[in-house]
Amino acid sequence: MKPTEAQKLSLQTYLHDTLSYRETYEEIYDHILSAMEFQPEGVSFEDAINNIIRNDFGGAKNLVKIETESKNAMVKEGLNKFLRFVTQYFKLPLLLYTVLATVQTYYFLSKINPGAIAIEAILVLLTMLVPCAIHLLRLYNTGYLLSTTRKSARDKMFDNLAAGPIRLLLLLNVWIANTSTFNEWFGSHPYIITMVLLVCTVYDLALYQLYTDEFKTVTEHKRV
Amino acid sequence: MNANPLLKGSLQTIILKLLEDNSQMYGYEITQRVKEVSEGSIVLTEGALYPALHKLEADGFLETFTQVVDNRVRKYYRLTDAGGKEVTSKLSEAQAFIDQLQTLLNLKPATK
Repeated sequence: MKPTEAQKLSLQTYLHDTLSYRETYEEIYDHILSAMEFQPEGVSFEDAINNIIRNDFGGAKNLVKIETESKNAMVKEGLNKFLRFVTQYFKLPLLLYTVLATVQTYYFLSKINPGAIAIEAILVLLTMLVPCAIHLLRLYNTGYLLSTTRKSARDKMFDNLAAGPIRLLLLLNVWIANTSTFNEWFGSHPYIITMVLLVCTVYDLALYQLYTDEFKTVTEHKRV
Repeated sequence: MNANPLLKGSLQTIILKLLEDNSQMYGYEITQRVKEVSEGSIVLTEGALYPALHKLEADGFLETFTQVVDNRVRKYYRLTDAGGKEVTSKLSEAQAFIDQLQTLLNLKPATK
């Protein structure tokens, strides 16, 4: 059975109304259309859809349950990937670069004190501007590459990851404000600043890798 | 999936084995392949397939990529390196279970 364009549109509308995330929508839509090809010609379009949803997904109500389970799995997979991207900077061969960059940063901070304003500016860049830029790039590419503005199951996870480093910046500033003056503190704690810069840089790099990883599959399908 | 709880518990093993044999498959293709191999006696239903696929993906045993087919996005699944090792482990587990079951059942002769 080959559905007409109007029938496909009505199926799309139904699935858009039932499902929240584009990932589950795409997978279930493809499954239903693939199954439609094997439905007998005599069956009406509505009956064919109902048969597939009932037999393959356990009914319309189960679609939402499947979507929730899929979302949880996608979030878990995303977080695992992020953790893998972070830890790779502490394993060979990237560990060599991490150590080299850390030693250089420490040397620079301890020999040439760039001052509180310069360090604060670098911290703002690493904890706010870079994560925000990656977040905005992800939103832009969702619309540009996927031609959709529908929600992704990974949106919330990405929002939380992008907003994470800002908390570190706030905590650090509150701590410094309560212990000493900014100029004095930044001048006398090069090792702590080095560690903070290291953590923030690795975090941003891992976030960028997570973002590119999500669109890697899209590039693959754009090529086909 | 059909009501047999033994088969329900083996769904992940079945998926991993199919992907080991076929390198990459999409959801509907997996349901059809299971039906074909079992000659219709095992039918993946009640939304058991997708949660199982997504769980395997979340655990790092499967990875996905997409292709546009007939103007729609099709999501394919394939084994990761960890997934390849998991197939061997799951198959050994399944084989050990079958052997144990056979030993246990053979203790009691069938009564008529």
